[in-house]
Amino acid sequence: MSQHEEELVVLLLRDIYGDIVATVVDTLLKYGRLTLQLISRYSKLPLATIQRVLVPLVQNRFVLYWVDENASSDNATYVASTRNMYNIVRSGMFVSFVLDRFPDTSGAPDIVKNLLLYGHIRASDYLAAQSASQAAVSKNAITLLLQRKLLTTLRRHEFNPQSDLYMRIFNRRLAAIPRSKAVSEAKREVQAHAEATEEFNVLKRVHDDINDGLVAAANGNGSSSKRGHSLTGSSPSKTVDESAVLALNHDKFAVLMRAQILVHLASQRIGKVTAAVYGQVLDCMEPKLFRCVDNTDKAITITSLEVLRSLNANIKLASAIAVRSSKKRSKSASSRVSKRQKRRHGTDDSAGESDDSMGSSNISDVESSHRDDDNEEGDEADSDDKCANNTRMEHLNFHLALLSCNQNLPFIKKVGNRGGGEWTIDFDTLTARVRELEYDKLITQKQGAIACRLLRIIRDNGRVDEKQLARIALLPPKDIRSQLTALHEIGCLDLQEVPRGTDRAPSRTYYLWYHKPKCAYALMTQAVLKTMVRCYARVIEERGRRPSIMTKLLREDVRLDEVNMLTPAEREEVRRVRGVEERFIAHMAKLDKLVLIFRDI
Amino acid sequence: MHLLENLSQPAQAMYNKMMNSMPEGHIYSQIELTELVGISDPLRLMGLIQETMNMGLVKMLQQGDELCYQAIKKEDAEKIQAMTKDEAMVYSYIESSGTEGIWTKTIKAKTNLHQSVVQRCLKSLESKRYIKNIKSVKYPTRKIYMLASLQPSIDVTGGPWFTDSELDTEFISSLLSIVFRYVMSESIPTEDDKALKEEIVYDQLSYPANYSAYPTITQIHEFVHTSGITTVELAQSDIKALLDVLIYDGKIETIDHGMTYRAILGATADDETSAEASEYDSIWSYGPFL
Repeated sequence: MSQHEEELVVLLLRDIYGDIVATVVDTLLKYGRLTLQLISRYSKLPLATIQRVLVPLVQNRFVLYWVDENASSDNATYVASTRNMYNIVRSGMFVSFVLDRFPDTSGAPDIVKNLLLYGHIRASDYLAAQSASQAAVSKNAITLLLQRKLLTTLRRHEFNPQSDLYMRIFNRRLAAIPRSKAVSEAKREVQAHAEATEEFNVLKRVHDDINDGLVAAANGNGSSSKRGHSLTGSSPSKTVDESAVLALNHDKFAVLMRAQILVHLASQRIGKVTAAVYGQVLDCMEPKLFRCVDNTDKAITITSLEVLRSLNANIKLASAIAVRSSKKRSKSASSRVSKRQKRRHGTDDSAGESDDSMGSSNISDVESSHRDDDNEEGDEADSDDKCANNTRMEHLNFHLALLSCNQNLPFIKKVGNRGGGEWTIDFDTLTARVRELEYDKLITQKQGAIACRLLRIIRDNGRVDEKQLARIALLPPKDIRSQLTALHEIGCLDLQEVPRGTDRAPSRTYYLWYHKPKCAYALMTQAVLKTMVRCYARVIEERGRRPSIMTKLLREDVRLDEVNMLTPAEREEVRRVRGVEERFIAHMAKLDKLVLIFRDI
Repeated sequence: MHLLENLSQPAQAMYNKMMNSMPEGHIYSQIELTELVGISDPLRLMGLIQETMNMGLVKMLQQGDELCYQAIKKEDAEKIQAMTKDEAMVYSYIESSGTEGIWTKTIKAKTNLHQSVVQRCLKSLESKRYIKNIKSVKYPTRKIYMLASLQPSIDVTGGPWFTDSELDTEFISSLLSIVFRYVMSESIPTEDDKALKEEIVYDQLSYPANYSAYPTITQIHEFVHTSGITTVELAQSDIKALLDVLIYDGKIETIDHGMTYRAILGATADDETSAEASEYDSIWSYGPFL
């Protein structure tokens, strides 16, 4: 939680839900946990109004409530959840994401839009509000969305703050451990904490079941059977459990966005085709990934065979990876290999051929197979399917090796040879690297390439003094200082003073620069959030400058028929305002991507 | 010639033997000298040495506890003989500093001469082209002198990156871009004639993961050396420094545990921001990073 994030969500709520909602949320953010009476006192609004306003807020889980079971009064307390409110920013992305994957007629986008509006809906209510034919389509869409985990079911406890839930579990556990002279009180608490954490984690992962919110189609609506035993994957015979309460799953959305970011990076660093393969790898892993952060699950592995099976046939693995050497090295395949070995083994040409080391033999294998593939493209139709599959497997492994070979940016990691090669992704390392790259990009953009060079040197060397920096960066010391102070100003670098004597004279002090990623990223994220606030404030300001046209647009008849109800001048005005609005909203989406990278993945 | 003429016959003989029997600048111990000249009487030898030393033809040195002697070339001796006493003293300190040079303040402290005397001596020595003023990279404000015939050491000049004791940024950046272009050309395969003839369209051109012919530091060094880009002699460590900078610029990366280098796809030789970077063009127009 931060000042700018709070500012942003209040601004968003003011625009969407109006002043009263914004005031209530603002009060909650300012004062923390409050009862109804206290909200009323601080916000100076009547109780009845606040009660009315809290309904949509709780519905959307923007405000969480807690009723203490032990307290004498049954007054509920309310806490604003910034994170849930921040997700409003992502609603547009969510809808467009679903639109990309599900056709407009499938009903899926409508469900998502409705959920964005209402926060959560019971499946049966949603289906009941539609005609029979529509309901069937919707039911199907909901099932699909649940299987993809883009929708999740809500339990009662998800309307409560996590800290309260944890304390309740803890207290219960603590009470269950009997007091005795042999066990100290501190030990009892430690044990209770350990047990409570475990139970709490189970509670948090309650939706990770693959059949969550689904029931067997033949079984009807029995909610008791919704926890299926099969872990083999949801079969088409599953359908939505109508008693389930549905909500959007922003955790999963972050996972999918992360995959997009990683694939984009792979296409930049390696190439389009390898990136497509990487996308497939991530797709195969996706059903087992539920969230980006706070992931205590063990590493997920997949095999090349799995990837191959689901690989899109349109991805041209073979013709895409060109094992072409530059002209001077490529006369024929054999001479190329021997030459390469000459480079590896020194000067002895013939020895290279005989004692094929593993690396070079692999090269020649892949090369020759690739070459065959090129030459016999016409004949391939009649060639054995299995053979073709084998070649494809080789090519696939070729791409996978490319993804895994870079130690600086390990897109995937090889962990075994089962199923033609077993792979895993170390997301923590990888996303840390993505953050680094993204931060470097920003610094380059803001401060220039030299500053970025200095930052990388400092990151690599830990604490560095100016002289050493100048020496490594091959830059004159006087040019460096201004860059360093500029970086210091934006919180990218910090300065440590190490006095050489007891007098702490500046001339007898080492000044060491260092970079704390966590701190730097947090400051950067704050900057980004502040920028988002400004963007949105600007959008509101632009609208506010044209009050008459904006009020006219709100009229029901105008909304239905803008073309005829507005004069040409008005239409031009509206077009201009919407253009500005669009630019800022698009800009916010870009900024949100940064927030996602630095905070949520 | 008149220096030698002033010497007695045995002293002349000794000086000639000292000059000719060993390479120039050889330091003789007393025992060596005794054997060389064939005079076993220390007092007589001492007399001869004193005689030559008076003419400035032999220098007395101390190695540990032992006294040693070094013959000076006639021309140098004449040079010193022609100097005033102060000049000779200043000159001897400058001479002993070798290729490192000596700071005027140090000369003053060592000779115990007055500032103005030192200045006068330096001026006259410089006008005779015996010594020269050099600029040190480490202490750009100090006035440092060394013998005119010597080349300043790397410590003083700062190595190949310095021209006139200033970091030659243009030279460095041009070398960086050349090295980067070379690494780039070796990192990405080019389509060969066969591919062009058969009109195979490649969506992506990559070397296999285990490709091992990316350039090593030796190859890059050789390339820079043979291409004749610069007349400055660059050591392999200098090339390593260049490559490190390229790595820190995010343009190349090491693979095979730092053995070979490969260009990063999408990096450009120039510092101009790529299209990718401008994605966030206006992010900072509102933020507190202002």
